[in-house]
Amino acid sequence: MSDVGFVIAGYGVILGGLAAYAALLLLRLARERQHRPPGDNGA
Amino acid sequence: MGVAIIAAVIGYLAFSEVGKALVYYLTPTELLAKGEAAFGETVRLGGLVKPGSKHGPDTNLWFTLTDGTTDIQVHTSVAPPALLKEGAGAVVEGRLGVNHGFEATQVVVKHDENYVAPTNGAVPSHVAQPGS
Amino acid sequence: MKTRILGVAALLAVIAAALFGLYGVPADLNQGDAQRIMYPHVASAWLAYLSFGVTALAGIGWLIRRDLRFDAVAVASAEIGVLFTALAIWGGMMWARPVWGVFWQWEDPRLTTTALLLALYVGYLLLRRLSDDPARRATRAAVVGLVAAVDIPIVHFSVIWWRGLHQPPTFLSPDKILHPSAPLPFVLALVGMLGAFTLAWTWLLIRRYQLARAELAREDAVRGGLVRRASAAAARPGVAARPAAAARPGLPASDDGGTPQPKAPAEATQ
Repeated sequence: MSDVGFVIAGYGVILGGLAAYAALLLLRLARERQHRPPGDNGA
Repeated sequence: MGVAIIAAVIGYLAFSEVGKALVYYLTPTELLAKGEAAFGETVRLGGLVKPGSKHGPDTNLWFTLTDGTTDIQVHTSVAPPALLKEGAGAVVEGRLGVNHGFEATQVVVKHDENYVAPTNGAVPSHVAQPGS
Repeated sequence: MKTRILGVAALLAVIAAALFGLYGVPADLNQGDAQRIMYPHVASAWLAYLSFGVTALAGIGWLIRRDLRFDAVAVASAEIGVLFTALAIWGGMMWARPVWGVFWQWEDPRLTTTALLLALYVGYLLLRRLSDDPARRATRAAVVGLVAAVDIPIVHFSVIWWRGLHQPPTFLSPDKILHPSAPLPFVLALVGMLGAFTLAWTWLLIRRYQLARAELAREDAVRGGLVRRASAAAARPGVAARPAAAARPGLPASDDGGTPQPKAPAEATQ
């Protein structure tokens, strides 16, 4: 693999990993909020 | 109780692993100072590639590692990293033979923390070496 | 709402810093393009330190104040720290292979202590799953978080204390803050990436903290809060009878919102 290949792999996984974690976090947050018991208005 | 066990495991890991990692490589002077024990044992040897010492094709390469005091000639038949260059750092793993030549099974480049922006007319140091 | 603005700002900053690191600065004269990986690699490593430092401080906060919000900060920061540590290691491997010639060397002190750092905080997260009792879990986690934090300075100074393969810091060492061993554009690219990653880290920490709070609230509900709320709802019959979705008008309709409704009349006729 060329240097540029390693640069792409390095940047791609780091930036992609951050984005994937952020997206998953929003999903987990939305799911957790759906589990909120009735009567909790989620303030 | 659980915390104590975990703390003990962490302590063990910290001291055993870090302790073993304290010396990553020996300098040529340190290796030869071991005397008889220096021969035949698999060790890592680090130093600067002596200018003018690198010759031969990648699959049959000779170069000299120096710490300024002691030189050890290294031979390797594994392809070295492209950035292996004269005047720069390298760490080799292998054995010192009885003829005081070091047979390396692995060659790793050790660079420093100084970075240089290219300027007009400047060439990378490994390109500047004739024949390499 | 403000968090959303922060999220957008962080996203734009990370994109800008990445473009600057890839196209805005020249490549290192000796290493070539591979050296560009330094920017996200170093930024990730610094934020890993920050994360675990915050986890340790939040652990102290819990031990002193006995407020579970500190524990929520601790777990949020630890999980994000594990992410950044893994990303720093990945970036380091992608940089090392073209430059050193190897992806990894176990015997290098910096690499070994960083791998230990990752293992310690993965262990921290696993440990938290062992207990259902929030207070006991928070105390155990706080102690482990404090012990594990000892590795942070060891990782950072390993390249100065011990002889290894990894090079010393470019400018985050006492003698180099004013005299970095890199030209100004490289330093700008690194500081820019660090700033962008710090924005992203802040957003992630806020969101992960919100998740930790929501999880605590649900645990609390399962544990007895549900009983309390159920009896309160029973006192107001109208609330208990209302469908859950209608009781939460602020939330967007769920995915299955469309399907149950046609069924409802059919079930009613049976």
